[in-house]
Amino acid sequence: METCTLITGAASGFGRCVAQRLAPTRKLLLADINAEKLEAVKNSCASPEKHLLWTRDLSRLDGIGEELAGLLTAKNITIEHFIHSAGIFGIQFARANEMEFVTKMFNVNLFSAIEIIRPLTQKRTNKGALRSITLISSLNSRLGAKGYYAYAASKGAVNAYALSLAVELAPAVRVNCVLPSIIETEINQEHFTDPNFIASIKASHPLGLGRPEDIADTVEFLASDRARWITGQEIVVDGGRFASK
Amino acid sequence: MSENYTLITGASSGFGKSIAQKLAPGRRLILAGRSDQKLEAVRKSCEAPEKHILWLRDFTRLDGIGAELTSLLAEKNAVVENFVHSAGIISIQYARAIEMASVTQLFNVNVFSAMEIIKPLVQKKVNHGALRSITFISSIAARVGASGYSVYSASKGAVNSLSLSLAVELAPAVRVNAVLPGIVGTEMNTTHFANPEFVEFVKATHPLGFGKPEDVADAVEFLTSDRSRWITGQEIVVDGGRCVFAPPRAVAAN
Repeated sequence: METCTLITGAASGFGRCVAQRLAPTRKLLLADINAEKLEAVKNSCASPEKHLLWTRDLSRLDGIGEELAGLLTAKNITIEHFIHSAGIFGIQFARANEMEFVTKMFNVNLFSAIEIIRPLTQKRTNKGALRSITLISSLNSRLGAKGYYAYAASKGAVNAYALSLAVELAPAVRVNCVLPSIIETEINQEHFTDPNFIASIKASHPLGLGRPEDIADTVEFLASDRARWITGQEIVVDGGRFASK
Repeated sequence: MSENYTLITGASSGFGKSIAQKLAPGRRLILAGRSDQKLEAVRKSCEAPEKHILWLRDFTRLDGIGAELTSLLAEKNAVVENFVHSAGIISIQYARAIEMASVTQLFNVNVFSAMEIIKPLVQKKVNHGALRSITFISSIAARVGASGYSVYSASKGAVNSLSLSLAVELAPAVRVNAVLPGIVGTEMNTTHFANPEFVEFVKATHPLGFGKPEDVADAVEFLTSDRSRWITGQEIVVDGGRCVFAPPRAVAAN
């Protein structure tokens, strides 16, 4: 039985970057809604033949746990590290709140992780293999911004979830969050074509623009034994944005 | 051509020693502390001991720290790329019997000496713009209250806030962060750890069990490396879950 690192949202953005960073030393189970992009990420990783794919829409919750449990059995693998990088973003104004979209965002950003963690912490399914959970949260859980309340709430929920889960699963499993500030990825590419937007990002980040690799570096640290006494924490990777707000 | 060094204060024991041993293989170190013998022993325990420099200094006294460091750098043709402030003292002080002299001493070591050290390190004529990171060893005592710890807590709270504003002032050239360890057995608290009740308390309040100095050194290594190049002004808690955990006795009290 082989042990894997499971990465959701692996087809793009931070997830893809984390996958490429971890691939040389680990066997990965890459999950995403987009099968084609997922396959491309796998092929961009070191030793692509080692890694497994799980095509799944995490905005629908029904059957996530069963599907994952079935996959672990079929492939004869266990999950040692889980990195939840799947996330969706959307501007919502209170006067025009669309509950359907809010639900979808919470499903992907938080509830799908809860559904995934259930089988991963069941002995009969994952054989006690789980050692760490790393959730990609956001600095928006700490900073207010117009139109961001729904997204911020979903990430604030992730932070608080991690806090209690860290206590519940200790000492076997460590649970931490990474809170990036805004970094150019597929999710926000259109904003980064605007020079004014780029200038405002530069002005509010004392260390300049961030890169997905900066997030991958921190995730790699948290999902390794070098962080063996770190749990329940929010690690902010934001180029000094929060310190200077 | 000057060589780049990582300066570690409090290097003769505890976290500082462990950090020195962890970083020695990849870097040149300046090990600072007040005990000649202990410091020399740490240097010898490091990889490539001949690479590393000692700086004998008592940080309870502030006068001349900056000048001393400045001339050391000039004499050794060294610049400091990373500064790790691990020097720290603890003293239990109850409000009713606070002794200001020992409060001052504690703040001198834990906070003010770092300011005196940083001054020359950010002066172009002294350090030639070489500084890239500052990492303070703070403590979760800045977040968790305990009887008799008010002065120590205050000094660590001061360190956290110092780090926050320095991070903004010195960006983008220098990153500034603090590491907040939980209770870890070191030379500083061997007497506590000799008491089985204390050991039991630590066990019960740290969900991941006992920490080791190496756990703190791992975090420091990360923060003083390019792998954390977009992290600044942060408090990194390394405490086995202590801060996020409500101990059973607190629950029972509700």
